[in-house]
Amino acid sequence: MDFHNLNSGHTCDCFTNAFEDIENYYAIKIMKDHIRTQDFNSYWDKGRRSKDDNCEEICSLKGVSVSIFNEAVKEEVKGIYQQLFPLAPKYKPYLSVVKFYKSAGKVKHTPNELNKHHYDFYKSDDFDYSKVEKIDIKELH
Amino acid sequence: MFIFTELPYHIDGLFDIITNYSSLLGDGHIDMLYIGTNKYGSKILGSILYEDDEELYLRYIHTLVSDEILNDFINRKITLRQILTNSNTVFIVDKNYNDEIINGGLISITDLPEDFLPLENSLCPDFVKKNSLDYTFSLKGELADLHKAEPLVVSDTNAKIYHLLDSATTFLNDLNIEPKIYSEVAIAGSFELNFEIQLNEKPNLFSVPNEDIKEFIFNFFKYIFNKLPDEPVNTLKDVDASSESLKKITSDLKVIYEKRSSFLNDEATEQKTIDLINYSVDTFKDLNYQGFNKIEVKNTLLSGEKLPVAIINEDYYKNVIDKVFKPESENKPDLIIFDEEPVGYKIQVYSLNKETGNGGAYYIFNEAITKITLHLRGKNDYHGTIFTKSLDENIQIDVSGIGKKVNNTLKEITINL
Repeated sequence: MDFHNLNSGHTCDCFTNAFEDIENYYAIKIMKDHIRTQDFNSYWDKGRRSKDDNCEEICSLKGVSVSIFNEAVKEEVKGIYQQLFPLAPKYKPYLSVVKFYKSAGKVKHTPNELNKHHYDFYKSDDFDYSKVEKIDIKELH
Repeated sequence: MFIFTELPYHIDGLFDIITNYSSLLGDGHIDMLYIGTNKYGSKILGSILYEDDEELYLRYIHTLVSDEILNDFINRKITLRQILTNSNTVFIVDKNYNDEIINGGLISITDLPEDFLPLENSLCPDFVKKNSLDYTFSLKGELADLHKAEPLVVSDTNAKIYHLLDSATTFLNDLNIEPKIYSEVAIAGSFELNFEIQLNEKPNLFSVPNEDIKEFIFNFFKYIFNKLPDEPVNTLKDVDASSESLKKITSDLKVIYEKRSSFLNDEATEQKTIDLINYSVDTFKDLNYQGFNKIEVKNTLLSGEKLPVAIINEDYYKNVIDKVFKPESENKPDLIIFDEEPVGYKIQVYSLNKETGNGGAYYIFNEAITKITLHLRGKNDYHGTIFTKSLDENIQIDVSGIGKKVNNTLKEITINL
């Protein structure tokens, strides 16, 4: 797998503790009731940049936010995503559960204050959404 | 997506947050719920509406809110929907992904499509923030809004807030942590009284991080200022009538003790919580609201943002006095007498730090029970003693020690082992 796109525009090493995972399911919040290429655009792809060249922030901007989704944590993950729904029912109102195919990219566990099951997904250069197996899509309300 | 038509009048900078920005909820990069102040000093509540990931912008709604409305929202007393539907200052604000405003304007809330409106249950989420021990108390209203104040009133208010912070942190002494409260320099031209609580911990091989203490004090203030006024009259007098909020404060306090090897039973924890509330509330007894009519309390987060905690109005004390016990005031000097030699006492231990030997006990005399402070001395470790047996099994024991009597009432026993 090549990651030239991911490594461009900065000098940080984002891959420490990152690994390819084609076994586990991951949840991602999306705007429509179907998966689109835009759902796998990172904030970096959308134009956001780090103000102070902080590597942790840069790597996070380069990644796509997902959460691991298994029997043990799925209710908690849904609860985290659902808490915003009443405030903004049109902001990413769908939760999609996906699995990554081989060569899609790598994931890295990046827990935060809100979500300890959070991962960054780093797309490989060959990524397109055919490298994602769609398991389920549900409205969050 | 929807097209909005800006209303014809527009005041420059009305919807733009220029200071006091604080994110309430975000995903790490995009803030979804936040507060701040515009250049006219008005508070703004911002919340996300949707993301257009094809045209690459984020659309938000900004609303001007009063201190009280914002406080009620953060404390889950009113919903975002209620705020928006009762507001005539609602703005649509479009931002790029670097948080720069690219478009915006006043709208009528009736022009917002129904399915974009927050739902009936749009309460503020229980967000998780890293609290600090830095607190700001802003005097507001009347003279204070003109950046003026009576010097003696400010001095008196400053002293009362110091006593509030002192009362709310007394429990730390049980844990070998000495809280030290410092007054910090206020921002020029404002009436913000800034305080920092420093935790001076005695050297200890097994000290634990103090994040739980910071969170407890934050939640304690939220409770006494926001929840206590709405509690039933007998809240602090009837354990069974305790609200969930009070039970949460009590259980959090118990965990703080346990983490530091100091164990309180349920009854002692409840009493400790009630004491903290009583003495904290009592500091507002004679507060003179002269030149201001409310105090806004804010906590500085570790990120530097200031998070509103509460609004303390003139009628605060009146609204809580029937829910607390009035601490007795001492008007004459205490008469303190120590036993000249060890004397026999019957006690039951209810809390004990098994490493320092400091704790508390019930003193039983003529069927009357009073609470006393207990000091065990002469060992490095008090595990496996009759005192831990009394604590663990709730049994009375006979001991011999030096009693300290204050006004003929036993307050403390020191026992040399």
